[in-house]
Amino acid sequence: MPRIKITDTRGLEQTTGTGVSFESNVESTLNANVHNVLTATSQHSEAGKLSVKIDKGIHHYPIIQTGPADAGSLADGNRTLTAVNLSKGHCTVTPDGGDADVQMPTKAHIIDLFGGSDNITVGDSIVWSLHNAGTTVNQDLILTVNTGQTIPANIAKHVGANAADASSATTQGSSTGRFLTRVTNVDGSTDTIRLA
Amino acid sequence: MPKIQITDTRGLEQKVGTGVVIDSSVDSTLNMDVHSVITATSQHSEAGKLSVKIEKGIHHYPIIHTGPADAGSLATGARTLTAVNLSKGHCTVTANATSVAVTMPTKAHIIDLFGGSSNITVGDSIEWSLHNAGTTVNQSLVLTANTGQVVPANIAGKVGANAADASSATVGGSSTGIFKTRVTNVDGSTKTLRLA
Repeated sequence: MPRIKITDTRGLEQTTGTGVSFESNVESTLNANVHNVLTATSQHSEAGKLSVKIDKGIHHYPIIQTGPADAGSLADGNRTLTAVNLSKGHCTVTPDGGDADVQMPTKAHIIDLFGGSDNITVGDSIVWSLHNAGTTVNQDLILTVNTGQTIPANIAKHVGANAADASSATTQGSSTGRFLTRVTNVDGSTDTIRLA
Repeated sequence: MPKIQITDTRGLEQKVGTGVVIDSSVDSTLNMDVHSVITATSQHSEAGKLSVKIEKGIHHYPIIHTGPADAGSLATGARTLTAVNLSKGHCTVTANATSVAVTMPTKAHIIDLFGGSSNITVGDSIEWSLHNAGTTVNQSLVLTANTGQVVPANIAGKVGANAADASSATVGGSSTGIFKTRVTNVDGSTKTLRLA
């Protein structure tokens, strides 16, 4: 099988193997389309030293990301999240009379979410948001465990109501919580932390 | 026009067309510079199964982003955001009254922000943050609609003051909100969600 190799010293070579390797800088003046995993680790990656960098120039910070529309509220009351729900990156649930439980997905759903059993990898992570669309003060969403899923304790797992007044004693902060869910075992176990 | 195609089975070929196609894995041991869009969708993308992954190694999470310096407070009092403001990714406004409007950009500014009418695409999104530099309790920023721009209601659209004490009954949460703005129409209409 041919392997195409391009080096700064010897130029273009065809060797035994598969794939294409550039032992050189690569520059594309137009688009680059990657239809599988984009790996961006330095060969010299080490603890405490960042090696992945996206240089967007000096003019701006945000990256344009293309994605799905908001799915709207998934439930009035308790809800167990699914792979499809988390794959949207933003989940909305509406309490209907008191605190509502939002349960993490099953292990099977987590495996599906991360590309199936052939692809799920310890360390794979996603950042996602949980929004409380309820407007009644003191009706929280509470993130709850499913088998194998670890979640934060206390107020780190609560998301308050989207009440009308942000300045009173009983309605403060945001009605959206941001979480990071990391695969801890390829059986679909995860650990979730609160980011904001 | 020559088209360069590299496959695992036949190696390097030159065909009629334009561009470079690599039907194989690519390893670059040095930098990769792309001066236009990086597309990272799987050919087998499907609902509920994530297909875009940035592998950063097991040592660290953050990606180094190169970008502009913080622009400082854009206004004391009401402010209509511009394309340039949102392109920085972080907007600061100083509240000087109970509810100070921070108005989303006009459609024309949104079109400019997303690369002009030739580039803006439904689904394109950016994440950005809004900081309230005011220090007086109960003086909030209120994200406000412009024509065609949908914004969150109630406290999901409010950002509280950066007051000195975060633990009293009247000051809680963060004085910065994180939002995601998604293009819903190429005429410059958007929908904004609160992420945190």
